[in-house]
Amino acid sequence: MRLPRFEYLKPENLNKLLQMLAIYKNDAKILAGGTDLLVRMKKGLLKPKFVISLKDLKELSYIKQNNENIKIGAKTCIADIIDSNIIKNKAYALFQACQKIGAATIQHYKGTIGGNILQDNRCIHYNQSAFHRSGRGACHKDGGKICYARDDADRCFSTCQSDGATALMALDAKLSLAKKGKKRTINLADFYTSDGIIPFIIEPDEILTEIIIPIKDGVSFYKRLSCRSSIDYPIVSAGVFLKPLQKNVPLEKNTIDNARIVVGAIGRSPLFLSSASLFLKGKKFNDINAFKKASNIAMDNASTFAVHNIGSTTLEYRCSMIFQMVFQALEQAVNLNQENQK
Amino acid sequence: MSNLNVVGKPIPKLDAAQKALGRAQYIQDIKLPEMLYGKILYSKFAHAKIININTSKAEKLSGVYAVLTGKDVPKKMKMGFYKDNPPIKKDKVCSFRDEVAAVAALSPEIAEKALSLIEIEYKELKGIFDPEKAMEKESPLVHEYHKSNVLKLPWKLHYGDVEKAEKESDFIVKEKFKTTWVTHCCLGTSGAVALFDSNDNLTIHTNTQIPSLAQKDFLEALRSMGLENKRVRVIKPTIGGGFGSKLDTYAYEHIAILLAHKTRKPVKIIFDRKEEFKATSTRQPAIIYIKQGCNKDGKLTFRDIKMVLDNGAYTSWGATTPSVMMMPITSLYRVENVRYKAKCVYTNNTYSQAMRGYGNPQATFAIESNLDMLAQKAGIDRIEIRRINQNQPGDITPQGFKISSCGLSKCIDKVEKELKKDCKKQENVGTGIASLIHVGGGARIYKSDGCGVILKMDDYGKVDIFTGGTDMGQGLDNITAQIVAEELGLFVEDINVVHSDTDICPWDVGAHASRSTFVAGNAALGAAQKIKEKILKFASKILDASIKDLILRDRTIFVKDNSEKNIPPKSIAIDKLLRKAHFSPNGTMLMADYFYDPDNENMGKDFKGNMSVTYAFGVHGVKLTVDKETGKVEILDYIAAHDVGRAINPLLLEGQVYGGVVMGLGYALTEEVMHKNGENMNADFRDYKLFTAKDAIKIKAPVIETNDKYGPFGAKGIGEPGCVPTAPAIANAIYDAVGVRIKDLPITPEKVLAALKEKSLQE
Repeated sequence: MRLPRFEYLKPENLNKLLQMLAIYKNDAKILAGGTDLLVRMKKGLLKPKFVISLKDLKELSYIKQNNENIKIGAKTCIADIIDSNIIKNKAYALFQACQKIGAATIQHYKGTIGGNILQDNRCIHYNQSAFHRSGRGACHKDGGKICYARDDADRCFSTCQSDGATALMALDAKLSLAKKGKKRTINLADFYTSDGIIPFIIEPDEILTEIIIPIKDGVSFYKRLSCRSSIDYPIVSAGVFLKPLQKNVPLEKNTIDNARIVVGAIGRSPLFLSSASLFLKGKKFNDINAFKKASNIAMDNASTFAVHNIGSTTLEYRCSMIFQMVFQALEQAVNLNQENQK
Repeated sequence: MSNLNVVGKPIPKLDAAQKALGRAQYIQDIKLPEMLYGKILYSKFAHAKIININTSKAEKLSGVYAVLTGKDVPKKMKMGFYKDNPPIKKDKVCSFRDEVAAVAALSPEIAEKALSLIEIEYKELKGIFDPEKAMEKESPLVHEYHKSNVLKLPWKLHYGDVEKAEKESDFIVKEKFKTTWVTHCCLGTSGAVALFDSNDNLTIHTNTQIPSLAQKDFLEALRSMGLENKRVRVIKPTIGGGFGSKLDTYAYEHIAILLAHKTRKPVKIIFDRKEEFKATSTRQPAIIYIKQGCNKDGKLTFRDIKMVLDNGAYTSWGATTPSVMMMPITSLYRVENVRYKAKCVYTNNTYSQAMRGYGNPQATFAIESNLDMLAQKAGIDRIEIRRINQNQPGDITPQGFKISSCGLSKCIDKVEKELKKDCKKQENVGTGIASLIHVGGGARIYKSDGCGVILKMDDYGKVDIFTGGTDMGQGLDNITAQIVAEELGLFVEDINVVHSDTDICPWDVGAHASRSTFVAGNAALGAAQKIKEKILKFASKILDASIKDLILRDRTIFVKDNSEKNIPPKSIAIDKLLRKAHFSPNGTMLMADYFYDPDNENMGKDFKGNMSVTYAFGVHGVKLTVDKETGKVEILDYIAAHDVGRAINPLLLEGQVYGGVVMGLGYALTEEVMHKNGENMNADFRDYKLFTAKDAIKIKAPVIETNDKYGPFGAKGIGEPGCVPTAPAIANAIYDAVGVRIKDLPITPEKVLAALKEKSLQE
């Protein structure tokens, strides 16, 4: 498989980049790390006329902190996030998720957090070579009317497999996007469309510039199940955040004021599970049964979005593992924090 | 033999630096003047009639030099030992990897574009993907001319009296096991460059483990093209992994030949990773029905095995794996009464090939898993039952294998000691062991199991050795150099090993069956001994000493100092001696040739015969823990003890064992080529779950040296054994940890969890 022909552009600042996007729009794709984009191009899933490389762009690589927020530039390398004490201390789930992205080489060499969030949805039936796909009718995501993941499905059942997005949604993150002459900020949860074909809304001339994580006094954790220790997408993942009600009270005696439970790699986007999250409000941090119940609610709610689209495991197994991942994430979030307090 | 200077030393792979610097020449790097690029078009169906092919648009495309379809292939050009596989299919496709057309063009881009312009009209036929169903009468036929989906192959043996032994057994365990498709995952993808000279002689650069046999295949291909009495030169560049995948000749090689002949230009075909996954062959999958019995003392009474092998749509060496499966079936442990029967069945799936272990891992998985179950039923300790039945030096097994040296007992001791170091029983933690037997002294599968070597020395004390043996990364270059250096008192850097070019190197049957160290090693040793004799003879004249008093060491010939006086011994440097020999009246240069063919036997009609001069043994032990919530297995400790005869190079030997074990772990736990109605669904490393560096575990690889009397410096083969008993050792450990037995590979977390659920329902 070879890359289709394209024109290569390399703007040296954000302004120029936005100008280019304003001109080329749909004909252009942005190349940050390329670990997702180039594979898709080789498979003929994308055929941009222009590839705009961010290689020379210095402006979008940073991790900053003020009283309210952590701000991460979209081009920040995964390895820099793993190495950041700010992230480790204030957004632990993201630190964990980044450790799981790709492999050490991808984390260090090229992979960016923006790229991780903006990766397109996957499905084993869709992410095949052009030749493979040409031997059958086109699926929804490929412009057709068939779904190979679920028989007779009237829409696309591809899944979002981003580790970073699942953790960030648990941390209630926001995204900043920019286009020529205009900026907007949107909750990560609102970024998604629940459509597998176009899983999130970013306009053709728009670019993700920044990830904003509100600093809340709470504990977070990211847990994922995968076949191997590197280069695997998760079979299922869970990101959780728990905010205690009382200040200066040890967790084991504290009450949950606010919970955010997010399940990833199952649905078209990371799934924020409001009923399961709400259930934990007012429960004690040491209430294991409440954690179990919340995990069960999470499993029931998230399972409805799951389809058999990764090949190596069945739908049943993936669904049953939702409970495990959520429960383990909740339990370990508390345990880790208790250990840290000691 | 402690006075060895080079043999037994951990000398890094001779071409390691070249490879690390990116300077080794792989097939991808080969570029010839006027070279064209070939590409192959594959089928879009698992089973279909080809109604019409229109190539006119492709032919008209600028830069296209040739387009081939099935009708351009000579009728007699068929691949594989069963001759059922034309390189391009004409009237019908029988699997997704069927080649239907090929082009040669100025660039790979143009070739790819041309493929997309070829229009093919198919009529889809009902496919058959389950070998057991394919044996049923009403099943669609993969090849109508064959009249049955069952291949006509002779895999059937019965030694002793299994039925009588079964009646007399105190304990019997009957089980079904299943293994699936896995693939070699060579990091260097396949490829070939073919060119003809003006007299229609062929040179082909190709990734092969069998230069001499490939030459024979290509000569046959030329004959089918009407080119009689031509020459074929096979050159193998550096290859990025073989593992058995390059033991046959493939369609892409034949297509490169056809395109090169049609265009009169060199044609290069290189696989991309997708193609490598989809269009190269896998390990042979097997459905295994096994019955083993023992008496009250734990002595094995009989072993009865039936297998159904999914042959896929065409036949390569996968269909002959039963001939090696017979080895563990008849000869792993002492068991007098054995019966075995295997059927290879055509389906519309991919077809299989040789892969490290050649059937042995499949058979050993069933035997060793089943043996643990038998031990439990009989109330005998798992390790004890293995000791009771272990092979011993001097044994002749029911198949007629003469066990010369045998370190099985020592391997068991070693593994037991390691596993019992920390004997505190923890929850969900278990241990498991499994043993292996494999050929270790060649394997007489062809009429000859030999290897030729030519050796020459220059005026500077340097050696060029032209060996029939093939280095494919396993380290034959080192082994050859170390053996020759040792014998001639030289250093490894004095030896240049030339291999894998049929114009230069003598005949060899190929790098397979863990035979290279033993056979090519013995051949190199034989040639070195001949040269040594000449050197000593010459030196004895110059130094005025008797031959028996001469020693070759450190590039010098010394006279043994018997005088006890404090004067340095008489000596002459080898290079000086060589020059003296060369530059004197009636001068001579030192050269020698040697052909070593081991004293092993072809199997007879009843499959009896001492296939190998000596046999390799080994035992793997594993300690692991099972996560009862997710079913995930984590390996805590792994020990792979192998009887290697002698380690010529302990560094490379450990590398072979580590690599084998990690390959075995993938086979046991994660790897599977997924097929959906015959179509490969995971043709990349993202979805094909090959172990990554991060998944690799620490492996202890103790070497048990038994100094085999036939091996070069006592060595036996070790190429394949490392991946043979891994899967059953793991399956046995999982049972020990959580009480569930997984009988089909790979042992995924999902299967473990399902078995745990079923177990808790039964309790």
